[in-house]
Amino acid sequence: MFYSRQTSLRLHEEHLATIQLWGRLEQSIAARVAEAELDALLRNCSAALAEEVTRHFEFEERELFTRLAEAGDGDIAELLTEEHETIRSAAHALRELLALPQPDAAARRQLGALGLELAERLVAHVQKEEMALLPALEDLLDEETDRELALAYANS
Amino acid sequence: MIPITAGARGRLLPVSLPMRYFGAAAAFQVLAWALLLASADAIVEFAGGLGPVFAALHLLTLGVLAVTAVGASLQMLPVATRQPVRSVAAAKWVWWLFTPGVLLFAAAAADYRPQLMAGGALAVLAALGVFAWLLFANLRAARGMPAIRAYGWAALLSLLGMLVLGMTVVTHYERGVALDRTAFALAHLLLASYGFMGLLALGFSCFMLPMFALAPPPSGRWASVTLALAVAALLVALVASFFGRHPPALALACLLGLAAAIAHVAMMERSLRSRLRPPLGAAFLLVRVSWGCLVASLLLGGGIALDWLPQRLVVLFGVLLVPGWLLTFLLAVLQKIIPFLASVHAGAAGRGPALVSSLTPERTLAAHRLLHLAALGLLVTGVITGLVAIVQAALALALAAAITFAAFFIFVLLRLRGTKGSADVLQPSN
Repeated sequence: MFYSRQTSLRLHEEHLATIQLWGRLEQSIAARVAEAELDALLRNCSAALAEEVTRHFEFEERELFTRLAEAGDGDIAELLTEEHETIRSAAHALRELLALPQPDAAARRQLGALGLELAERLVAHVQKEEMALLPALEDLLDEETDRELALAYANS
Repeated sequence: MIPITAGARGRLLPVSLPMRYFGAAAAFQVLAWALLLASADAIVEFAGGLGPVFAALHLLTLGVLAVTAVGASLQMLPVATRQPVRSVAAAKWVWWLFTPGVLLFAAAAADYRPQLMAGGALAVLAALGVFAWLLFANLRAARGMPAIRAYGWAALLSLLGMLVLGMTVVTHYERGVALDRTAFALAHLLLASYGFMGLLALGFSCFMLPMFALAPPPSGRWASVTLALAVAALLVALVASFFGRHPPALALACLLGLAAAIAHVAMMERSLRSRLRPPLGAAFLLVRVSWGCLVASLLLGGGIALDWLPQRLVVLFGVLLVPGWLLTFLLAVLQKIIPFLASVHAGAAGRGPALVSSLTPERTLAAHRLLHLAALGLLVTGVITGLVAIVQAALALALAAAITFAAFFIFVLLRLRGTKGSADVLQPSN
């Protein structure tokens, strides 16, 4: 997809990074890598997600979904917001599990399952945003607004 | 909370709308293969004309392919063109006219009753006419994705031409109007398969397959070149159909079509190679088989047109074209799109959106793929060898595949219903 808006391009680049990181996690779980290696990767994913949840999600909800709703796509904005909420809640659960000092076998299983669930949710969410949100921004943002939003996002 | 009964103001349709089309397609597929199995001995020698094979062919083309194309277009086109469906009520009416229309048309054709067939054809004409208006309204106001819009326009023109020619042939059967039936039937077949269905399939591929594979979409320039080649092939074939089925012209049409098909496959494979996640998913096996059948149908068509291959292989051409290319491709897309759409609507009870994997019965789908591909392989073998027993075995497998696919669809509906709490999104609102 060719994006003429800086805001779309920034979000798209972050989507690519998200898919690559969580794809690695999926592959590692499937390949049954060593516990220490998986823990390190899960911590990376969790840290990246914390950043994504606060910065990327909040920016979208504050600046973009409102515009999407005003343009008549309120249903898509609501769907994406609901997915954000679900991902936030799963991300919180992941952080709590990773914070356990000595996770037992059940907690480990839960970690793996939660990692896979988050990977699937994030990929599906990215798919929807790439399909419905980013193309719509091409219409919704004029050049000046795009510049202001891109700058605000870079400084956030 | 997702407004599950959203109207035309947004691009997300109520889930019952696309699902009713996909459900009809699943049911018609079972009916089509059952009818073909009951008349297996007539397939090898089929050369057109009314009867069970004709009826089953239209159950597949209208009942499965066209119904799926309408349902998928209603939900996916607004996403691609950034335009909502003009009227949700009209989109529902299309289904209410189309489904009984196809049933009446097929039943009457199977029973050699052209008068009744005309009634079904009129209902189908009205339904597709309304759909053509919805498609027109959407494309006229569309923004973005110019190549996909161009495919949409070409498919819309093919649909209109197909309807006019189809009604002309029905009038010929019903009232005995004199015309070159073979020429009209051939032109109708070309516009319906390579035109309406084929161009929609190629156009949507540029949007949907990269989306499912998380790959960059193919270059708009290449998509336009492919479309130009496909349209040129179609025009040459149509002119040749009405002017004595001139063999070199038909062969030229096949050659142009082959160039379009190869360009499309190369373009899509290039896009898929750049995907962000390595696993493509098993549905893409069906996509690739369908592409192989498309290329094979054009090679075979050219060979038959030039008399390099025996005329009796025209049935094989039909097998490669309808169940081979179009049906296999649509079943692949439906395996992805039905759970995806269901997941979008499955979280309204406050539990968050459902995971696509929880709505995808992998074993059922694997069994379906195995049965469908085995049926296709056996059908090709049976038609080439002319052995009815092989054809019968193929049709039995195809029927089993269709039932398995229907089971997959029912599983998704039940899971969707189970995630809804008190809200029953599967109840059509009219």
